[in-house]
Amino acid sequence: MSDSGEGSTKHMVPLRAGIFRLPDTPEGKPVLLGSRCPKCGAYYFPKRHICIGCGHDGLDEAELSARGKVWTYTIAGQTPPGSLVEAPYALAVVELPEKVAIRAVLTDVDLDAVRVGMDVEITLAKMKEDQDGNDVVSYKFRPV
Amino acid sequence: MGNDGTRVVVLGVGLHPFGRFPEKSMSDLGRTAALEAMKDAGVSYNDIQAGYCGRVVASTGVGLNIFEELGSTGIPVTNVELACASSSRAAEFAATAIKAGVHDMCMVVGVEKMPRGMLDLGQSGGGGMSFAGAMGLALLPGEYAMQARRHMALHGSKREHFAQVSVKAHKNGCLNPYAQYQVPLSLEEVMNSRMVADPITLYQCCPTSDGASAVVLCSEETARRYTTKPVYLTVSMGATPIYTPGEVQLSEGPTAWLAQRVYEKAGLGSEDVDVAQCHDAFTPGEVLTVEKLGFCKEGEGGVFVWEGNTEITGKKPMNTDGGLLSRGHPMGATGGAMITEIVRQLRGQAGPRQVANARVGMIHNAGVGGIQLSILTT
Repeated sequence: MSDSGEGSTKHMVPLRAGIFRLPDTPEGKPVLLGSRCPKCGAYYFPKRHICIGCGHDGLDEAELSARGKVWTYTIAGQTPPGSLVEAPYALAVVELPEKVAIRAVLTDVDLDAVRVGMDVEITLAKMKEDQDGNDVVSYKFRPV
Repeated sequence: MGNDGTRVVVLGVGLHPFGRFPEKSMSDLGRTAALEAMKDAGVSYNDIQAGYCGRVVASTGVGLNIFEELGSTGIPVTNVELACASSSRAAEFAATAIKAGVHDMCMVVGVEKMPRGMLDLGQSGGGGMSFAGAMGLALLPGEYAMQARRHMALHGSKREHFAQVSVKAHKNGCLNPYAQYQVPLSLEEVMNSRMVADPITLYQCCPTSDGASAVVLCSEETARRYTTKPVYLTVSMGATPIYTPGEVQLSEGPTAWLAQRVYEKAGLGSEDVDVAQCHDAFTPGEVLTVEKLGFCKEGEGGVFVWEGNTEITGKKPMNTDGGLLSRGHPMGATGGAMITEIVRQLRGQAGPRQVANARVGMIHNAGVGGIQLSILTT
């Protein structure tokens, strides 16, 4: 590798492209990318093509709010197959102001203190390193 | 399938016991259940005019292999897949064909052989890791757990309410020789077992299972040649989730909405149901379903179960055969097993599990992303 050696830069790589926008720096927040219906204004996550509300075909990409509330949650006691997050962890459905539901793992949280209605915000999460040593990142939510 | 045209009779039912049978093939399981159902019906394979097979993880052609082992009479055989509700949906297709006059007698076989451990929802085609799986979001008991947690927050239901579902299920399973687990569990044992997805502990999760079910269906006219006490598949209907703008929901389908349609088609109400089977893959399944079927008010499902209303001797006996939790849940076979138990109850053949004077039975079977509700009557 020509760019190996000291001075090589670690990059942030999204776990999956198109689901969220990477922040410019590791300290920044990712932005979830959903869909918005130009006809009736309904929001969706993940993205879709046709509005379930009004049937309009051709939705716009939309940036979603960074903050929301825990609609419900569970504490996973067992790591599901294929998961990069290890149990125990809090899994939540977060309701955003756009009235979309986001399934996400909660981080920086006391597992005994998670509650329905809790205010949470999105945060960048390192999921693993790839073979080139880059941080593969995605999103989690944390208490505000 | 609505309540018009000829009435459809469940003429025969049969099971291969549920459990772990590593030495048996899927054809072995399916054949055993099919032979038992045909014997129960008093028919031979030559009488069967169409075959349907409910299965999920089993490979292409499994239904054709099972029916081919029974005979080679040229009948059409179709595999049907709706996750855990596959053979319930297959029964609707068979009944619809009978109502339409396409076939006079059909057999539905449901079959599955499953590996041990938590189902891998995170898997994706092409061997890649799915995004949801990698993110820790593909936790099947977590879906039920999050519905339970929402119910606890809104309605004050308690952990023991959910745990009691499993206690009752295992009590009933002890009375069912076909059940995977015929062992009683105390409330303490259920609540103190390993936490899987709070509030769901290990003993509040159904097992993975091997097993098969079979159901012979025919027209009312044909049934007269075989029985004077027919059990009718009066209504069987399915649904997928309905979008409600601005509303977050987790359910696998519009159960309350579909229940109203099914009751209407049958000309019955929730008060008429004498015995029911519901999809208790995880204990919240029963707590949430008793509300949606109208057996109690919204929010009161936990207390309803806790007070013993779903016991065999209760107001609305539910999962009298042990349910998915104790009878076992070989996915493709489950719908047929639910029909089998309701038919045995309505015939008065349920032995120590018998519900007194059972004349109307209801079935709620949920697949990932879809549901099926059925009403059977005498």
